[in-house]
Amino acid sequence: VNTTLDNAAAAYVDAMRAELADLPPDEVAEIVDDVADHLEQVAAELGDTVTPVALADRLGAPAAYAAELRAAAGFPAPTGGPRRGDRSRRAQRFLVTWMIRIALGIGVTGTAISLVDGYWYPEFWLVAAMLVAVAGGGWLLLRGPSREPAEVLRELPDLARAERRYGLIASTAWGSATTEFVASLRPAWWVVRGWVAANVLIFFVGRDPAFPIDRSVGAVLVLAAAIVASVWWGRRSAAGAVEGWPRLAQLAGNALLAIAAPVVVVSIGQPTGYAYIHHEPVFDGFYHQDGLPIVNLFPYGPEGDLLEIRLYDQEGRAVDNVFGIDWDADCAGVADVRPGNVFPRPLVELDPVTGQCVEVEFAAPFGAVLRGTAPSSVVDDEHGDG
Amino acid sequence: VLAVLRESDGYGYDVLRRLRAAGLTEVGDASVYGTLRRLYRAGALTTYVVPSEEGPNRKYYSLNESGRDSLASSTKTWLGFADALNTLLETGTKEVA
Repeated sequence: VNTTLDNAAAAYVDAMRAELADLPPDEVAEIVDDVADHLEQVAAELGDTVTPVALADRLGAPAAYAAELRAAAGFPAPTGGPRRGDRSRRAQRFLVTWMIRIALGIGVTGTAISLVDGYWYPEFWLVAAMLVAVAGGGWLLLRGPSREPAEVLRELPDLARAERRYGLIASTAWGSATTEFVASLRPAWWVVRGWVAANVLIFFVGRDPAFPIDRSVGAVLVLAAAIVASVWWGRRSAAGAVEGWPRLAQLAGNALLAIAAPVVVVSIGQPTGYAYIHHEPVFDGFYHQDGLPIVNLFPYGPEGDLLEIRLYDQEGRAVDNVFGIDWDADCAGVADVRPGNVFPRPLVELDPVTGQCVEVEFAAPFGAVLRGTAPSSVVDDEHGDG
Repeated sequence: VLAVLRESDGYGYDVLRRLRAAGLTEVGDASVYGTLRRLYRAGALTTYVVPSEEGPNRKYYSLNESGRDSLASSTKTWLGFADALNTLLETGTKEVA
C-alpha cells in the first residue's frame, strides 16, 4: 500500500468534508463515503504520482469539487453560517472542544511545573485524563453511538484541523517516510501497550508499579498475559475485525494508556510510593525501627549518671549525622561550637524575642540520673525527696 | 444516471465510467456523485453495501420502483422533446434545401 497516495487522497477528502460542514451530518457521511471511494479509484489510476497537486489537476480543487457536487445534488450553496437547528449540537461541540483544550492546558502546565520542580505531580495528569475521558466519551455517546468513532471525532473542529495538518505533513516526502516507519513499528507499539497495561494493572492491585525491579511471578504472569492480549487485539484490529462498540472501547483504552504511560515510565526507578511524598524532606541519618528519626542520644554511665561522650564508628569517623540540633533552619551552624559527634547534643532554638539562637535545656527522657542502675544515688534521691 | 442504473446496480465510480463509455465525456465527476445523492434523497434509488476484497466496503446504488417510474416519464418527455426538435430541424433543412 502506498501511504503517500492514501495521505494525499485523505487530505483531499477532509478538505472537501470541511466544505460540506453545513449539511446534515448523515448526508455528509454518505457523500464522504462515495467520494472516498472515488478518490481511491482516481489515485489508483494516477499510480505512483499521486500528490495533492495531481489530484487537484484531475478533479479540481476540493472546494470546486464540493460546489459542483452540491449543485448537482440540489443542496443550497453554503450559507456561511451553521444552521439554526444545530444549536444544541453546537453547544455540545463548544463544551467538548473547550474541555479538551483545558485538559491539554492542565497537562502542559503540570508537565512544565514537574520539569521546573523536579518532582512528578500525577494529579495534573489525572485531572487532564478525567476531563478528556468525560469530554471525548460524552461526545461519542451523544453524537453517534453507532457511527464510526473517527468520523464522530472529526466533527470536532480542533481534531479535524489537527488531522488535516497531519495529512498535509504526512503527504510530504519526509512525512510519508516517517509515518511509514512508525507504522512499521506497530507490533512494537502493541507490546509497549501491553507493558503499560500490565503496570497499570499491577499498580491498581496494590503491587509495585516498578515492574522490572520487582520480578515476582505474579507480575511476570500479568505482563505476559497483557502483552499477548494486546498483540492479539492489535492484529485483530489491524485486520479490520474490530468494529462498533469494541472499537470505541479500544480508542478509549488506548487514550487512557497513553496518558498513563508517562506516569508509569517516571515511577519506574523510583522506590514504591516515593513519587507521592514529594514535599517531605528526606534526611540521611538514623531511624528507629518504628520509623521515627533518632535526633539525640543520651548515654548513661555505669553509675547511672548522664555522660557527655564522643562517638566514632569502626573506621574512626565521627558519628555526627544524628539529627540533633539543627532542626531550626534559622539556627543552622550557630550551635557548631561543639563537634557534631558529642552527645547529648544541645538543643538550639531561635528566641522569638531577641532573635538570637539560644541553647535550651535538652529534655533527657530519664533525667540526669537513670533510675535503677545506681541504687545508692537512687536511695539518696528518694531520701532527699522524702 | 437512471438509465445506467437500469442496466445493473453500480457504485459511484462505476456509474461514472458507464456514462463516459456511453459518450458523455464532458460530465463532471462531482456532478455524477451529486446526482446520485439527489436521486437517492428523492427516493428514486436505494443503496446497499457490498464488502470489497481490495478495499473498504463499497456502496452500491440500485433503481427502485419509484426510480423506474421516474425514468419512464423522463424518457417519454425526452423522446417527445427530441421528436419535436428533429421534426423542426428536418423541416428547416428541407426549406433551406
